[in-house]
Amino acid sequence: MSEHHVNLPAPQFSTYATVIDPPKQVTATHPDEMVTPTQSTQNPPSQDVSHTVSSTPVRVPYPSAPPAASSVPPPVPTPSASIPKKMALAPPSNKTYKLKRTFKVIIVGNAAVGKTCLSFRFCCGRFPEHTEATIGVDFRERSCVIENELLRVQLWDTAGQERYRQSIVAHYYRNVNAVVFVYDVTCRESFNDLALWIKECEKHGLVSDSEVPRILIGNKCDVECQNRVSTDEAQMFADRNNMALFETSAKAASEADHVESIFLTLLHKLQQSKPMHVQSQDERQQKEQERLILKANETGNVEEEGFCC
Amino acid sequence: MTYSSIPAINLPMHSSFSEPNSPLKEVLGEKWQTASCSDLGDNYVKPGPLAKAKFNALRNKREAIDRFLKKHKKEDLSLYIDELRDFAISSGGLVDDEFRAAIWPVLAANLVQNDDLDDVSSSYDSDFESAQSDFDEESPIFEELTELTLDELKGHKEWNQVELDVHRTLSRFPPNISDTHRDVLQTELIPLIVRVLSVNPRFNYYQGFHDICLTVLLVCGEKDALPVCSNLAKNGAFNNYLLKTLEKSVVRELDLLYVILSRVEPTLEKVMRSVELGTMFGLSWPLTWFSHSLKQYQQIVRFFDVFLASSPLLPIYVSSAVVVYRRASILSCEREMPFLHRLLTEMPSELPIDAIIKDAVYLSKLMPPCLLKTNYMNEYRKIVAKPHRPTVKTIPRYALQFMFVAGTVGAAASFFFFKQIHPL
Repeated sequence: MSEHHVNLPAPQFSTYATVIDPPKQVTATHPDEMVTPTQSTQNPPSQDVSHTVSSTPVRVPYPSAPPAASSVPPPVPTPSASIPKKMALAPPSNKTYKLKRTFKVIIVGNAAVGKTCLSFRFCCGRFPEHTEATIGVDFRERSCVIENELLRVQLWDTAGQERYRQSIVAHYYRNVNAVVFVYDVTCRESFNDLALWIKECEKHGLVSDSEVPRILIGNKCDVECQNRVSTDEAQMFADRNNMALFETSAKAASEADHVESIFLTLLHKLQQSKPMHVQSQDERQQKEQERLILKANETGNVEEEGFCC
Repeated sequence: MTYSSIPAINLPMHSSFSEPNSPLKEVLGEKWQTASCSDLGDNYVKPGPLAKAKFNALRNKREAIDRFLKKHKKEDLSLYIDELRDFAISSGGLVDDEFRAAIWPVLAANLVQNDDLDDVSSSYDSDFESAQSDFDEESPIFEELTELTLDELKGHKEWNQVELDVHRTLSRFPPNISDTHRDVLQTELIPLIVRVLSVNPRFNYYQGFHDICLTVLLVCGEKDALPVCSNLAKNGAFNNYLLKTLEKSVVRELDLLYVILSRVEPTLEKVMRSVELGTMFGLSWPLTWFSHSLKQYQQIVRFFDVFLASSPLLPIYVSSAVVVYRRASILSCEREMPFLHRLLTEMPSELPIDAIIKDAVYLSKLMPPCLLKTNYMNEYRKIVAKPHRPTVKTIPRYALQFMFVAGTVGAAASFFFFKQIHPL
């Protein structure tokens, strides 16, 4: 078959030029909500015998990446959990809104403190079965309606490892509307490193007295641990840095409403902070210019250093 | 490939594409244990001439590899590296995990070096040398690596991070692996990764490298995984990622994706550039050889076959081919950076792997890395810079010119004016 391809002179991708992905990928703004019902109708046996993985039908994709988990949830033991419950403040599908705003929120913190789980809990309403280390940056979104205004929250879930901190995550601090710092209450190191994360944020102009709200979340408070970070200490740290502190758990079902309320608090704050900020033409042009100058500098640097591989 | 009407249930498990049999290392035998290609069987796809032809081709290939391995059982397989590479790259790859277990170590010991023009002469030598000896002065040889005790390994600076990541790999294991077996593999995986990292004290672990080691461990078993992974870390594409910052290694490689796209799919490239998509959507692709984002075990090992047998930059060409394959979805997606980012990070579960690999190999011949990094990169920079240059540069320049001209005219006018006044 490879010879066949070599013989073809034209550099056309004729093999699959007309292939279009399944429509769910294009249209779904809430992939989990849209996919789950169709999946359960396709293979009803999976709910009855969900405790044995081998009995799932053949075409269930190999469950690997966290995005996969978000689009096709693995069979959950309790059938009630597999049916997505309606998210609070979710916009009705038949209504269109005149007022629309989008907020960009970035979640940072050390590796394995639960950033992915928290954002998943908020955007998809449940605790993900298996999460993997985030590589680079993942994106999740949720829409809410507050006071007749459609608010879209874009959560940027970042990689926690230090190697990703500077080069990769740095790109995502631009134009954020809020920062969520996460630490693990059972892991002192993750608490101590918060200072580094704050410094990193300040490098990008997100200082404590700016209008960008910052909140601090201590995750995994359901885990028993002798050496946990005390609430007082965390509260003092939060006060010093002008942040609101929340201790919660993305995993514990009893805390689910708490996670929800934390983010909704943030959302309310965002909604009130900047009433109807519409980017004007001038502002956009100014930003564009800044960007171009930055880009010109970048390319200049690259040319100087040359390409190494 | 049409999967429209698949009789999904009532099929024996071993004939599934997405749930392959346990990829345990097995002795080469007559019986086919892992049925990687039976997805093309009669009961799976509607019987048609094309499906039959594909199935037969794969079966023939499987038999050919088996014959080849039996014929050269007693010899050093690295003598036949070209044949092995050909098997790995051509349609269907190495077909079965038992073949992979035998062939991957040979491929890893003879990795294709950077095929830049100036490297061509040296790459022939290294093909031979790296197979026989470790000429890397400082790095310990494999015996030393295996001798490192668990306590010594636990003292490694990256142990904790590796442990955290390995414990979160549950979903990476094929579903037919039992829990106990998975536990064993996970406990084997941590020391394996740390041993590989000990090859060079300057290696910095990155999240995602554990995905590579896990795949190799699943296919080759604990004993063979160490040399394969260390070879990849020392001589393969991962050497750069482990030694340099990600920005100076993988991000720069990913920039080439736009250069490739601008030449094969200019419209697509323009769309992606106009929303400032960047390359972060594909960050895990070269870093983990797609094992982080692909959903099916068979697809992952198929990609590994190819990458083990070709130039270290091939993952970038494959990334481009994947983006091109998703052209229609990209063009119909909302023109906003977050949505395009999410669209591309989520890999569709069905991918025409062989077609993508073929296109990637074709692209790598059309635009070899040496040209890509130099001429084509420069040309691309010109394309990017062109439409914006006037708006940025000309405004201050014309302003200056205008001021200069106005100033001169003004000075001349006042000179004449005063000259006329002065005599009075």
